[in-house]
Amino acid sequence: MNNTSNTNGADGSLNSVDPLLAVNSLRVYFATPEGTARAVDGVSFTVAAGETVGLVGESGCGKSVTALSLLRLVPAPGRIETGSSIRFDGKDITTLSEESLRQLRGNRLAMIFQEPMTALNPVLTVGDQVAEVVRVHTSASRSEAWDRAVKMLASVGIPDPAVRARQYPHELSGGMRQRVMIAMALILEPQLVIADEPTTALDVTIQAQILELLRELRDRTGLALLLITHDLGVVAEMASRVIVMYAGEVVEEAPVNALFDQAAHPYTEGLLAAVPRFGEEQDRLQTIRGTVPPPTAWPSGCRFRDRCPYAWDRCEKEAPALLQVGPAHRARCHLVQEPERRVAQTATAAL
Amino acid sequence: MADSAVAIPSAGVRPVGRNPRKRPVMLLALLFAVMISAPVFAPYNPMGSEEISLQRNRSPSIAHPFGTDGGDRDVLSRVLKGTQISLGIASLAVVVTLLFGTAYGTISAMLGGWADTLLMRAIDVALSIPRLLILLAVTAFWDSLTFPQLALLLGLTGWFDVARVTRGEATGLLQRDFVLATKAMGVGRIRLAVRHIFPHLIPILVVMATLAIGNTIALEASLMYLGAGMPLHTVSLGTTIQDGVGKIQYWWITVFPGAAIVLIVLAYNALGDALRESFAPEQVHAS
Repeated sequence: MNNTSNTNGADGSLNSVDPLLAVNSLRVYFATPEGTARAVDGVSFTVAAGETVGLVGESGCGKSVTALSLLRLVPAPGRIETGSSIRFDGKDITTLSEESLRQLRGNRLAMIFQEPMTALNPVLTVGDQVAEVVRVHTSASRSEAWDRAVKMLASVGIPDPAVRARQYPHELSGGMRQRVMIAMALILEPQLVIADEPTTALDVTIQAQILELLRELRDRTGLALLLITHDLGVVAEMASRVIVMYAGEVVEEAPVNALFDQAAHPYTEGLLAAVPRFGEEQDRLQTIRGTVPPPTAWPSGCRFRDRCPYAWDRCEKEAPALLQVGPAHRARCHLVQEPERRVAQTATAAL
Repeated sequence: MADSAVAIPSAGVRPVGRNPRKRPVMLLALLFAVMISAPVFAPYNPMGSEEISLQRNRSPSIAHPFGTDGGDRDVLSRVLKGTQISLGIASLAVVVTLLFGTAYGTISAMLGGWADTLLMRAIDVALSIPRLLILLAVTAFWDSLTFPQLALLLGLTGWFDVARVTRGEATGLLQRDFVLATKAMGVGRIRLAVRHIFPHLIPILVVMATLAIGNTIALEASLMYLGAGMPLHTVSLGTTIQDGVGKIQYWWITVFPGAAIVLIVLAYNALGDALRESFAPEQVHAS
């Protein structure tokens, strides 16, 4: 039954049932004047029904492009390259007809965007926009759709939903607008919701409320959630499994506890070290030196080697494969095979 | 864009009438309302009537403020009736212009890529041919045109620049996040265009329509003057001017309808500018 090839699921974490979403060697390239930007370059992962997976990485690592390609909405000149496969609920998104895909979007597979101010149409009332999702996917009448929208607005915690539904996006606060986005995404109870940085544009106090709301709705409806974020705190709170992306590739994949206990990839290590911790004396915040290289010119060998504190000559010559670290835990690093290098380097650093 | 604008405290749509600089517009609009309701007030039958027979080419007087023409007809009545006809034709033509221009521009923007380029190059070609030339060539096929036929012809030759502006606006709109979000919700292309893109185009379309009505009236008068539009006995501003051709001593036959055209075109252009300014003050001052 498991037709998602060996690179995926060889770790035994998947049972014999097909996962809800199986992405396999996804490549999204952009033809630019500077050359081909390989924004997503051979990404494979799965999301099981009802599971919450965190997709983590810096800006420019390809996580948002990955998210958009799941809905086949990569903006031009981006292209999902042949050989990529995105299987969702038994259908291949990459080859589906435009009409079948439209029926899937917002219905079985929905997305929450980062910036609710710009993601809502300023000239339509929020009620209209929520009701529209119902209208385009069901045979509900205008008034039935409206009633459902108002009910949904109530269940995402919008006070006075009947009044609010008649307001325009600019009349709502940032937190309220994000609740509207969530209402739109969840009103038809999709099987999978992709949330692209759903709390990044919000105040910290509102962030917690929105995460709480997402968690509550997830538990109530049993939807699967692909949570895209650069915030490891959000991941720790919400996800059961984490995928770390760097330079268009998956560099580490692990259950959330394993990742926080024992990150195998130096990039993940760096990300964890960069999270400020309460109660720990630190002169200055930890950072990962350098920046993500441009996607038109990934380094040869390991793409992280320029920024890696452990890099040695092998990293330049040979691109590491995604190697098994533990149960359901894999990392794209030569250190998995040569763990003594990490120890040696840590010792040097301590001196 | 915004900082290059002359400081206007509250941006957004402001009522046209409350701005003192817009008063001329209001005055012209008023004048114009009188003209629209003209046929009711016209003192004589514009086609000529018994009571003023044998009064040809009389200079302006109390009885005939605009004088009479070579056919014993009251020029004031002809100007009023002609204004009504000209305005009617222009308004109908502009409706056609807006329909075609908006549809073409939006479709071009949504197709994108080479199809968009091709469609826009076709517009460039169409715009490079003088509109009057196209109209003269086309009207040569008919002896006379009816009122709706003329309106249709004027409309069909006038939508090219509307298409280009609409395409530009729509292309910008399609880049916005809400379009991506709308697609992600499973909204199809037609619904996206009609429900999500079109409302954003309304302000610019209103401005373009206003300016287009003025232009179309002038163009229609030119056509009539050249005898290419409706048959000559039809009352229109253009045909009334035509009546005075070669009779410079009877200047009133030409000057009054001419002044009416100038006034209408001015009124529409001023209104268009005012509307543009109240919809997007920063764009007017930046350009």
